[in-house]
Amino acid sequence: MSFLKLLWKRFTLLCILALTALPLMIIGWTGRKTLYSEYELNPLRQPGLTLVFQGIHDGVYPWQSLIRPKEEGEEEGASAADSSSADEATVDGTTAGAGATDEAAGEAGTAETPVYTEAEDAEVEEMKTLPANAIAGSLDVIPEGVCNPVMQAVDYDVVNVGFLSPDDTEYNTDTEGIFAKNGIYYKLGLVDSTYFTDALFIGDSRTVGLCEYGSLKGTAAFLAKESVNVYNILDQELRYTDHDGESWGAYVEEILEENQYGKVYVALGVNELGIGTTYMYYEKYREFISLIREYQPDALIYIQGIMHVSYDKSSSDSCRNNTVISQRNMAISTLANGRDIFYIDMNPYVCDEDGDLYEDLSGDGIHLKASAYENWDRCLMENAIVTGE
Amino acid sequence: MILFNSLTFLFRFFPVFLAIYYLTPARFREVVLFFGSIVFYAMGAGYMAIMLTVLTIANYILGQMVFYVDKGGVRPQNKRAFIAALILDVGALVVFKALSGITDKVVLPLGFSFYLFKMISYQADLFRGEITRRPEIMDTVVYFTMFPQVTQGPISRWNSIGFEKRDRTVTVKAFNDGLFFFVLGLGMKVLLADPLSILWNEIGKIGYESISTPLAWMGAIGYSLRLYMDFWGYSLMSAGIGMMLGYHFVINFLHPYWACGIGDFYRRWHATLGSWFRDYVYIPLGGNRKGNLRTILNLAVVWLLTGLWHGITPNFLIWSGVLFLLIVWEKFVVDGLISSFPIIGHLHVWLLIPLTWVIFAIPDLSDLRSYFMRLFPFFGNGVNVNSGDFMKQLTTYWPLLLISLLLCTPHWYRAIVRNRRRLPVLIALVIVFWICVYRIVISASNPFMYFSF
Repeated sequence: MSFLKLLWKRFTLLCILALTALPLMIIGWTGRKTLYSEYELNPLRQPGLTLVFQGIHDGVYPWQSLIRPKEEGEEEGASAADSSSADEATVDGTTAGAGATDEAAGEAGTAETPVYTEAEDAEVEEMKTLPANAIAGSLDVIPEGVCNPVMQAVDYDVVNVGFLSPDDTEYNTDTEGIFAKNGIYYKLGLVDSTYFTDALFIGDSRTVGLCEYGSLKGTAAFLAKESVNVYNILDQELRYTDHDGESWGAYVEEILEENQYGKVYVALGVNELGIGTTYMYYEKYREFISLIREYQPDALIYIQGIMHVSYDKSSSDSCRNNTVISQRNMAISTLANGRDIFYIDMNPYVCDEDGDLYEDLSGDGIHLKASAYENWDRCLMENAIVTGE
Repeated sequence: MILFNSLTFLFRFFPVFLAIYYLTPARFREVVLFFGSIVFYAMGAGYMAIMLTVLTIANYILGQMVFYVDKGGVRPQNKRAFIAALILDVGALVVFKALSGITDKVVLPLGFSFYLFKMISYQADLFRGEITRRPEIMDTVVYFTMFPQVTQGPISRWNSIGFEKRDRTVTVKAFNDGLFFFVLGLGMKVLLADPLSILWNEIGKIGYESISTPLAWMGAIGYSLRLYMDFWGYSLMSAGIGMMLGYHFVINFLHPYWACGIGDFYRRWHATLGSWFRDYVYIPLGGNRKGNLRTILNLAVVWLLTGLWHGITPNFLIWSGVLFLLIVWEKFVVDGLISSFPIIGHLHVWLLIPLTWVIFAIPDLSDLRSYFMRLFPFFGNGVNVNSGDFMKQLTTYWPLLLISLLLCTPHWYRAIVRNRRRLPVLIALVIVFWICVYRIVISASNPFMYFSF
């Protein structure tokens, strides 16, 4: 006892550190197979107690093991699995996505055919007085000009394939459409800013930038926040800026429930580049689009392709590169049905012929500089659907 | 690269190393430290550890030939060995710096300018007879390679850190103080410097031509504080580890932002580098003893070399050139005024130093021009400026800026250090430690923590 007293007296700081570390170590080690089974632990590089901190970050608290010790990995599902798989993939290449992709591909039984094919056998029911910007098509084949093509980019061979899905992955494009059921499509065309008075833009920091530096602030509404992604967008408070430029904190579902919009623009995907595979991203994206549709039955939904990154990034970063971005854009573009969900791609406005974001338009290779948001504005105004009246 | 603020260092390398170190009899501890340091270095720099080892041994051998007993004075063979050592060390420094300037394919050996500076100072001290006892091999190799200093300094001197000591006993007091400074430094680095670096990234993201003038100033101050918290925090960690191993505390930062004038600032900022240039360049050139013109010339040489040491892009030369001019201005024009009104010296530091850091931070000259146009908006308006940007960033960063500013005054820091044995301070420190661990864990498992979009 006197030894312990002496130890405490002489090495107080070390003793407090050790005393606080001990319970963390015990919780981490005992929980590593149960509560924290989702996380990778490399005991050579990090102690078991780091699991406790990772858990806290993802909302998995130590006391949960006392309350329901057997039901691990249920609630933490998305977020916990995401961060651990991202880490895994970053560290050792191919492991993260492979398993999940096989599983995902297996699930994708109800896939439809890809959207971009020639409009050949048009079965038009009523074609008598079509407006000038309308095109006749069949319900399952979208004619050209109704969505943007997905811009491709040069592959610099740095990609971590753990973030991709196999090329032959089939995507389940089940999102119910309500608009133009008769096979009449409308071409993307030019509008002015009044078009956006009933529009809502949802997105991450890039959309925050569009709100702050684009020309539509005070016209359109924005709901965005740095670092949000399709996996966590419903769980956090975003910044809502209304049509008058007033802003406050709000949740997505709250805003979608309280207001009805004519158009909802979605731009999400850059924060997901280091998380999971294309298919996982796609599935979450689809759920999100379905959710918007539920709350906004009459709105046109615009899926905005993920903006590419600069050459410097794309040629050196294993997850934030245009190879992953192009594949993910291909995937989400299949959600467009050309009737009430459209795909638009701003990349031709800001990228060179290799598909790399122009260096001088971006300070960090990922975001547009304040002075470059006009390109995005232009893309939005030149690629809008007007139904013709 | 293995950093002090990494999980591998905090929970694996350092505790294991310390345990072995303390279990080893004091007279053999240098052997443990040498091998531990090589392992540490190799974990970060791989095969470059071979170069460090070769340079270390070569410098030891040459040093033995440079060393002379005072009575005998310098003999020609001492001089030849000294010149050979200079050619080796300065040559290695110049070759690597030059190569890195010509091509970006050359990987600079981790921390090479720090350990080469130590080697040069060691040889010069030997040659000048300032090292009075023949250095032992283990003392020497540990001096060059010791892991607390090998990657980022400080450039401690042979005579100042206690290498002449025979054995490496560590007192309880030194251990406790060492641990205290280590955790304090860790907190500065992880909880202040790292998050503050995001502010600077935010400004780059917006584009310098589009930031409001208040944000431009906030960015300059934020960057100044971030650089300070980063480097001071690192230096405290390094000094703390040194103490835990039985060496003296190395002062590298002495409240520079409390300095009275730019010259004073650089006696307190990265002090081991400044004093290195003073002792091995400025004074050998004649210092201030050969007339004003010669003093100015000597200062010019020192600042040119300081600029080149930091980097070879033009902004570093502008940075060091501006500092040179400011120091000449202070020394020869407003010296008397600053003595009578110290506030002028303080204002120099508070207003001009952040501006010089902006030059330091921005390598591209047209970007630099844009930034200064926003700092001083007399020459035109910015492009698509959002006047709300300042308040937005201030709401996020004010606590970090405030704490960092408080730590810039000697009073707060001294109060913490004075009370470092009191229980509440220790408990606060432990809380800081675990918050740091939390941040490190999250940023390790989430590479986007600091760069999420």
